[in-house]
Amino acid sequence: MNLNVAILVPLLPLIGAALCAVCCWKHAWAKASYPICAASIGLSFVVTLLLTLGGADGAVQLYEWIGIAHGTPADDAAGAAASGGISIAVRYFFDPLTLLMLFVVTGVGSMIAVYAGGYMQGDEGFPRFFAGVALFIFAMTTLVMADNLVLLFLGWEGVGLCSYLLIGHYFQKDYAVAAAKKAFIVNRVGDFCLLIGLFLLFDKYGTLSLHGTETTKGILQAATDSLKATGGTGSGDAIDTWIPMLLMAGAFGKSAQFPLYVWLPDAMAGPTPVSALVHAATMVTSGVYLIVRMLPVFQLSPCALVTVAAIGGFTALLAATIALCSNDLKGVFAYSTVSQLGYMFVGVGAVSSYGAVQHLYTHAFFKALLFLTAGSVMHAMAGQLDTRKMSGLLTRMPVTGGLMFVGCLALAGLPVITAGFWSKDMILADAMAAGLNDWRGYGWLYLIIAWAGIATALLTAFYTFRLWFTVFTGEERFEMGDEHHHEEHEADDAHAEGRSHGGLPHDAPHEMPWWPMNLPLAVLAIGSTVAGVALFWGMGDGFKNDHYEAIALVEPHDAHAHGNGHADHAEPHGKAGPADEANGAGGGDGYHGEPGHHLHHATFLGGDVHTTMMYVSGLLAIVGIALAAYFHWLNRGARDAAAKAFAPVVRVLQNKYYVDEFYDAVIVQPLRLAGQVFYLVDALLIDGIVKLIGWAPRLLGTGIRPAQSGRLQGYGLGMALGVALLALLGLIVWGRM
Amino acid sequence: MNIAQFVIPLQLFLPVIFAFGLLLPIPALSRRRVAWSYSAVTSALSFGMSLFVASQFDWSNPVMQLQASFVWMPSLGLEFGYGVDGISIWLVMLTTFLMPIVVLGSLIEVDHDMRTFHFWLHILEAALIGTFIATDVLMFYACFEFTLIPLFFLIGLFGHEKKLKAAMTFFYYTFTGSVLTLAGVIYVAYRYAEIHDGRWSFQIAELYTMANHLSFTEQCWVMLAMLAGFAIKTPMFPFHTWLPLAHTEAPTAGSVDLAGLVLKLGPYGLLRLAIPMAPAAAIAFAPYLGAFACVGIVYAALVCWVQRDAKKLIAYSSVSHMGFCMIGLFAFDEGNIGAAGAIFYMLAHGLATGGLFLCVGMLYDRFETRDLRKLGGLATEMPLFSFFFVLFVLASVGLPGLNGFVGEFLTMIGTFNSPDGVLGPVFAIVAASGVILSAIYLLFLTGKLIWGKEKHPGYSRKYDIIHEHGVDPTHVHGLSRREIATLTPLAVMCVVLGVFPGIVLNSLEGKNGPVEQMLAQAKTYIDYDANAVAWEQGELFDDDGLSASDADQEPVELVQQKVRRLVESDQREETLDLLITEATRGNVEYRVESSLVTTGRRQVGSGEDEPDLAERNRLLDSFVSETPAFLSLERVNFPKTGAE
Repeated sequence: MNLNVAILVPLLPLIGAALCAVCCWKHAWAKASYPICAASIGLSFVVTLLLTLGGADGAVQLYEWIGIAHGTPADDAAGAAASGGISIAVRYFFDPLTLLMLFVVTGVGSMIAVYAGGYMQGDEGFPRFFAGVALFIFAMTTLVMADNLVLLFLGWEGVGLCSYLLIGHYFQKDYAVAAAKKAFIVNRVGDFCLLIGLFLLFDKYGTLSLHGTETTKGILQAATDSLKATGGTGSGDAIDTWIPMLLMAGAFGKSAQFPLYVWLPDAMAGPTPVSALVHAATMVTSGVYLIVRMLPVFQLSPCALVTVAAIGGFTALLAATIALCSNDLKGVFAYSTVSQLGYMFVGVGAVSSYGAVQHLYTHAFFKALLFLTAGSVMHAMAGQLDTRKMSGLLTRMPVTGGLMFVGCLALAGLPVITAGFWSKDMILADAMAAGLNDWRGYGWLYLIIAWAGIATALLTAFYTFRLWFTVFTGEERFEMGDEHHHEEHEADDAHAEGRSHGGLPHDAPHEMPWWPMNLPLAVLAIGSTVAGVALFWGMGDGFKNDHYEAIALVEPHDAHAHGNGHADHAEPHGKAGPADEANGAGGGDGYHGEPGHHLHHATFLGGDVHTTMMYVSGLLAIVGIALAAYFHWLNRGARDAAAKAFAPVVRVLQNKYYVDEFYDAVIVQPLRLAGQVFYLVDALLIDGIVKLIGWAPRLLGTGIRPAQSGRLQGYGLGMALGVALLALLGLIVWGRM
Repeated sequence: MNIAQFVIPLQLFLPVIFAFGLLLPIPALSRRRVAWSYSAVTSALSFGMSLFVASQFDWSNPVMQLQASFVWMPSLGLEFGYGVDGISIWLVMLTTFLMPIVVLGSLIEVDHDMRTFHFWLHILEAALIGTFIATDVLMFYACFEFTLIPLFFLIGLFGHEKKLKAAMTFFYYTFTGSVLTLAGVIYVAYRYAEIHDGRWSFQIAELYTMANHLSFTEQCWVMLAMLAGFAIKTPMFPFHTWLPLAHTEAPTAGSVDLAGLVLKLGPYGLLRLAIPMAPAAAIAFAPYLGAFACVGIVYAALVCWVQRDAKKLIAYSSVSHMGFCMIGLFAFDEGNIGAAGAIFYMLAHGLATGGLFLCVGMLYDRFETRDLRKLGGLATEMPLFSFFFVLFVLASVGLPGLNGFVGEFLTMIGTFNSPDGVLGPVFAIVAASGVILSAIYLLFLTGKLIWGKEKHPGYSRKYDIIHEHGVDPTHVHGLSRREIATLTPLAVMCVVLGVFPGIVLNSLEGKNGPVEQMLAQAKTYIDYDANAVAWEQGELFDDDGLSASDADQEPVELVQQKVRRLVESDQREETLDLLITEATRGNVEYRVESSLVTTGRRQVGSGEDEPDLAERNRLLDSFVSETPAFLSLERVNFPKTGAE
């Protein structure tokens, strides 16, 4: 299949965005923006499917974007770089990872776009919203398709811009504007690090291309080569540690990890479909994508990957504790996103990029589902987000409640039937295995991380179902919000929705219509079950092979001593049939059966780490759900008593550990003060000196003005003095010669 | 008859002719609308003319071309020379491109003497073009200084509350600086005459040869003198205090021209004059200039954040942004990424900041205030305006895909790759923090003006009157058609240059490109810095320039490297100069297939301590004219080090 078709993947949403922007021009056109946006993303998804089925592999170059040649005209990109120039092309690259990411972005994206058509009905900025969404898909697809880091950075900043614009969609609300600004600026802190990482990469490799061309070597190839040369322990060069550390900081900004996670909870000020698309399913995972993509560069440094894992594990736990006490419907999901992203980073850090991408994939489905169902609740409740003001909604919104239940099960990781269980388990097991194998001497840290992950699993199950039980069970009680979807009801009376809440007054919650809202949710719900993860196993073979090749480079050396060497890691999983069944006690993904795969194999609590971890995390999920059911459904009195008993802890958690306040006091205010001081310095000191110099001639003039008295004697004296002075000078000068 | 020769002077004189057209005793021209329309048409014609210039330009080899000169006083070497290369043609196009936009944008603001206003605007355009096309220092300097006069009147007559103070400050401050620049230029010319038996020349290309003859101390003084004018103009921290005042008090047209064009004279002058004439000093000064530029980036950005006046905020942002230009110029990285990026940055900044000033001007037209506390939430009432404003803000912030990013990225990566002892990673990192800070203050501005609850003090009476009179009654999403026509070209160019920066970069790059020609000399001194002890002590040259006795201290490899670089960059005269000098010292040998010389060693260096000056000149003339194939490295032999 012709790879040039791939250009359509980003191009269609871009055209869609432009058309949606045109729709802003006239009120009558506004409605057209929804089908345009949804169709462009949908078509982009179709192209992605075609590419996936066609097994797209290779690169497409459009043109040279930023190029400064410094050789003879005959030189190609390699020559340009060698002679000190730079060449950055608009060039897309396709491999299994890119295709997986594209599938998530355009697939989940089109579902959300369809849903948004219903959700955003009657909004003043209807076409503006869809322009933003389509532009976002353009930027996000560019990000995952980019073959060089500068083009990736274009996508990176592009999604940041769309995030800014979409968070600030309700721009008349001050908190939305503030949240948008915060998101952009905090992300910029990460981008600053990422940029410097780029400079260092350019300095070291002389190129910013990832895969290179026929004639040149890309960064990844070069890094892999030097990894092969240095062996599993990585190189000891400082620059090889600096580069991943800086890239990591960029990833942490975009993916909302400690210490840069503070923007994501605030970002919920945007419309809920945006939270689902941008701040749960796709954009926030681009940091994970970046590290997975740059894995050889990270593997070069012995401590980079463990840092990724440590920060991921810490953030996962931190965010989960905050989510425990949040009373904000979307806030809980926001913190759970931060927490789940933490899991993904644990996965990447434990060189389980397959597990990380798998979790990214399943998380996109179930978290989008959760946000959209939360959006439905919020929509039904006229913008109400406070979970203390809603209870027992299941009878009024059975479909939404059911869909959210599926999403919650996946997030909690209910064994076997949910997607979240499989992906989360693999990450935890791989982290534990890295710890037990004492990989690169950081075993103790990996063990701590794995245990933190296990604790987080319990917390996750608990806070997820705390939310669900609070909202959907118990006695029916609700307090509507202050947003009125006036136009929507008039417009929709003819639609199915008209029936679903036909007899009800408009100030009571009502079920959402199947089209366009609940149907896409049902698709996402299917993706949240084991069916979704099975689809991933079907699609992910190519990526798995790549992953094994990468892992083989950093395995402990004793692995090579065993009968099975490198070749086995590259062996596609599907062909490893018999061995798979022999070892695959855990069944399911068959990953455990990979022969000779030592880094991710160890004995834990008397069994294979993957098997044991399944029992442990499955048990914890059930315990968490049971606890939540007890406290928030069956015996709400006990909940209140517990909350009272731990009041100080609850207060700290509800204030999110005062991190925002800390940042404000330590970073924002001092900077602002510096601005004030500098402004004063500018006005008084620097300009003052200039003024002083400006006054000097005037002062001089004032000083010698009396000399111009008009009296002849005075002039005579002056003349005599002048002549004497000149004579003196002359004597000195001539005397020297 | 070659029309190419007259293209450039026509470009220069067209605005002058148009300006004087406004002085014709035609009563109709006194009506504001007529004068405005006249100016809009004529400035558009000037832009058309520059497109014609571009069509005559040989883009495949963007070195100095379309050049000619008019002799004025041959005895003193006074003549007016002009020409364009890949650098200046873009600045000329930027000038002529911004002018019609500025005219379009200043219909409402200028409420008196429309004729005078547009007269000075055209004169300013001519002066700016003159500076960019000058190939001799006198014309350069004359035009450079002359920009002050129209700006003085534009600010002083048509500015805001403190217009007189602003005009005076601007004039005195920049004038004082440029007088010193003149002194520097004249000194170089004087030394040229001294070396060339009293033959004066003010041609820039001629004076470049002085780089080999000025001692290091002299070069430092020349550099300082030029910096006095150019650093103030740029403006480089801490010489920036004239700028906020002048920008804020100037009418919109003045602000746009100041930020978009006049500021560019500084970096342009440094690149065109200071660096090639004082190359050793440029290398030596680079770390200090880089430090000031970096401090300026951070300092001005923080000051921006606490501004209450939208225009002043944008004015200070120029100080911050031009810091990127400076570090790029003085990066001296191998591929000239920094310098090419700096030139691109000049264009990008002109478009984006120009757009921001125009936007703020439109607000002032409506509400007669720029106070961020009094305005807000304009997205509701002026959605199209908000679109443009946000676009220009994003271009300024350096969002990839828009023009600002390309310049920012290239200057920073150039700085990062700068050789040891010049600039380096630390400078790039400090500058990159500007990426965060610019987001902070520009989003602060956007948040105040565009987002939030709608808030403004009501439309000004002046605005109503103009609309009542039917000058411009059509409103489209909060903008008039005229205003859309003003902002659209800028917005389009911001996107086009962001997506296809190659349009500009292609004419700057390359080993024979215009940027390399400016920097090649300076880059030969980088190695001295790293290697030679003599350089450390500042004793590379004595005050008579590079003389034979000094050569002994000079490592042979460095000389050879220098020769190589010159040959590779095809700088014939300089190469020959150097070859002759070095051949006398036995550092190189060269062989020329010419009727005059068999080996340079025998001809020039035979038994004499110093090369005969007249003989040298004769050789030079003949070589340059007769033997184009002379310049290839095969013909230059380097004896093995220590073999002599």
